[in-house]
Amino acid sequence: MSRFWPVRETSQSDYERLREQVLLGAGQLDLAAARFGRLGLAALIAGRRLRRP
Amino acid sequence: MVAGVPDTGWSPRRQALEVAGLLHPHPEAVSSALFDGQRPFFLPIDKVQIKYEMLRAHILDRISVSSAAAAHGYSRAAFYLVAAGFEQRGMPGLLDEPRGRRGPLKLTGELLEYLRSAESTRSGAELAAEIEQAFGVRLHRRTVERARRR
Repeated sequence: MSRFWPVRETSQSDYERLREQVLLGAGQLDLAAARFGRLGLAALIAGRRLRRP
Repeated sequence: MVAGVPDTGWSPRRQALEVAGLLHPHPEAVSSALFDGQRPFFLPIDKVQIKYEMLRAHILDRISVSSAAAAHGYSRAAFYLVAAGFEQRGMPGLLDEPRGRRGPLKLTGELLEYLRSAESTRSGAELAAEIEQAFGVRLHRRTVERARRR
């Protein structure tokens, strides 16, 4: 599982940032948070895939 | 609103997961403290999030494969399937393959690896059911049994 860590993908770094904010109790409304709110982690992954050139 | 989580509405997330077929099949089996219901961000029905947190618990928190799998409602064999998907495709590997795949190439290397990692005491029917749930590939129990004998 060498691919898992350190973080290499934007969807993973977006998730880790949101996760840390939640655990620290520091809310921040941004696009990634809004996407996560709609379909969870799958939304972050799918969003990055759709925008990939 | 839960501290640290923007109140963008979590019920729509639940509904969207259901529509997308991304519900965890056994959310009641999730015992990880993160998913204790105190923080809606961590939703035990979110299969993709659960898979990610299962891998994270093993890799970063050094929890054994068996414990990480059990705490997230998966079997040890399923853990290895999820890990293989991530190793091959990264984050998109956490998303399920489309269900109902048919044809002569059902027994891919990934599935054979899964069968090889399964305990020998498990029946072909059990493994076939688990493969259908995890991969969306329907196999006859005898196909599974033949593959295990190879």
